[in-house]
Amino acid sequence: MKKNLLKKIIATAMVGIITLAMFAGCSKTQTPDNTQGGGKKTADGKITIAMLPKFKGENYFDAVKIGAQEAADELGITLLYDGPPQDQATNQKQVDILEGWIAQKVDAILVSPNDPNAIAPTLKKAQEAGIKVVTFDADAQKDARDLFVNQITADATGKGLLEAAARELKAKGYGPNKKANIALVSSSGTDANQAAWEAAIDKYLATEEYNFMVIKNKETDVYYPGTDETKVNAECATLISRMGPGEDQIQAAIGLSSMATPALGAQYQSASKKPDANAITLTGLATPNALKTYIKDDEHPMNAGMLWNCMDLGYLAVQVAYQLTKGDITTESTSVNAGRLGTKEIVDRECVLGDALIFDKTNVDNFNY
Amino acid sequence: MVQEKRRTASFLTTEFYLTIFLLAVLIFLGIFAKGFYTINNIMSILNAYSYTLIAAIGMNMIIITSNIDVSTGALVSVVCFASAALGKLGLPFPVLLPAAMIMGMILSTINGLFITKTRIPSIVATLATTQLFQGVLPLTTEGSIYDLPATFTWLAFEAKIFGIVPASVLMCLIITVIALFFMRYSRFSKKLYAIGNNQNSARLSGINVEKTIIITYAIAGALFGVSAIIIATAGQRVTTTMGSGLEMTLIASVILGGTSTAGGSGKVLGTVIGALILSIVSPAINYLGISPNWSDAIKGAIIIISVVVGAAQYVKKKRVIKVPAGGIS
Repeated sequence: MKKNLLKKIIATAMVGIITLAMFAGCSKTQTPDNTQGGGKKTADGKITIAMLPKFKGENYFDAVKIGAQEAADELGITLLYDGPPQDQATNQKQVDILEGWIAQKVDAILVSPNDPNAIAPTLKKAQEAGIKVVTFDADAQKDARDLFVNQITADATGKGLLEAAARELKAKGYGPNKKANIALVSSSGTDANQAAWEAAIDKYLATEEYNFMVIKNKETDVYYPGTDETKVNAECATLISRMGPGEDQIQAAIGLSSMATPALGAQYQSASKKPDANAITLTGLATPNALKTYIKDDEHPMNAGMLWNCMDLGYLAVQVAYQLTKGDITTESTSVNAGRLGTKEIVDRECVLGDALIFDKTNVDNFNY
Repeated sequence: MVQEKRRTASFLTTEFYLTIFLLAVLIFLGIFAKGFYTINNIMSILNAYSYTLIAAIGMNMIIITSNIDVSTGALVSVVCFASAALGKLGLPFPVLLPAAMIMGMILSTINGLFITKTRIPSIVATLATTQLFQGVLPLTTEGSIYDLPATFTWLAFEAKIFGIVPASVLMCLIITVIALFFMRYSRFSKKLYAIGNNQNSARLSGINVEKTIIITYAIAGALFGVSAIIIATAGQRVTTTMGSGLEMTLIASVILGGTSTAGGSGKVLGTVIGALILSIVSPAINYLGISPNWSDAIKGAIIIISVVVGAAQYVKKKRVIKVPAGGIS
């Protein structure tokens, strides 16, 4: 009897281990593909640039990839593109992929880190191996990368978002004589991007131009629903139910993540008693595709969204990485000639793509991401 | 004397304590949380509650058999995404609902087969299938499904009973009533409790344990499918991570409702109240003006207190049983 039990336990453990090993095996099968890509590079002497997004499988990074590929084709280089799946967007997964690329000795790495600090040792290791490291979309520790290709400054993001909300609020009768309460839907509360944007929003809310908008209570009017889809939806529903024309209600909601803004649109649409669309407004960061239906709907209080040109971001990132590898620019340079984008300034080892892209129903169909 | 004690014990159940607690919270919110009882807020809570409860009823059945399913979140994500792909073709809700139920049933049956045929503990088996389900989505697609037609979002945007109550609440009500009767009176449910109490004695008393567990997972899967379609149709965008994190909410609701993770005990009514309490916490603290960071901590505290109270009751019950034993000797 005892022996049998022991056997059973061992058998169970074995099957468990084999199964897990199987799955581990599955996820690793991607690496050989990349090695082949690397091998090709040495064969024909092409430059290889590897691009690592925060995660794969969201239209945002898909659009970045399209722009990156465009630049790669133009420059005649090899572009490797890989990242963690969306639900496993962790630093560890990114490090695994980076280690593979360091071993293959790619020429340059473009990375959008999930964690600016935890990824730094691996990036430094890449630099020691002679690989140029450029961050895009989100920055890492400054000493762990050569350049940062920033889509937009935090300052411009904060201002763009407030401007989008202010325009709508003014059209609905709010202004210096009639204050409006606003609420923000952020992400998990630890992201570097969102934190910087919130700080910029605070700064602009103190200026005369925007001080008719107020965040009444930071504890409850700035939401941190994290990245679980159901949680984001539920908290946005709560926020929508708090909206309306009253003084103790909220008049404008701004989404700070590509998850939150569409959720605001959807939860308004599904509310049982919709708050008066003439008294409130919804806006925020998201890809145009995600907001299209709400923006085009005239009875929906979401009339504009904000983003930067994702394809241009990918294009610029590859251009910068390429020219850094070739030696056309160095970390000391003050500008870069970025192909079809023209000349872009580099300030303090940071290259900024440009201004916010505010889209509304007149131009939302021009973007397919 | 003994009978009297039993009678007092019979209504002092976990469900009873939970109901008292729930009522106290609701009264408290009525006094202190201004605007909490607006139609909009109540309906949005009920909508989130309905998809949580429907899936939690399935999870409750699984846990009663002394098994568990941690792959539910991933399973729901897969069903959401597949439903969205169908919805993009313009298929209406009456087609999407059974399709989602069948998909959920198939995936969950895989879990059931895996557990019974290989005798892997359910937590290990469903951890493995979690990886499997999560792994399938990135293979089939790179990206989310956007701009879904009005036929897809019909349930969330249009279907309101009397123009107010979301149809998902009605679905939840029907399923709950059926489950209450099914788990109380059906012969199948007796088997579940028997298996959960002692698998070997259940087998010896002539119950086909493997078959029963597989059917349980299949029924639960169909319920997960219903939840998935409610979650998926909430907006015009469906990503590959719609259900992530859901399994923990479900397990928490079931445990809060007095179902023991050891299996063999627990009622649907407990889960009904447990899920409602957990669904209220986040909006309630927002309306009370407390930082949302407290939300998870408060949920955790409620579950711990409930488990401790449940354990204390168990000890008490044991003492009650001891009396007749002493009487005989």
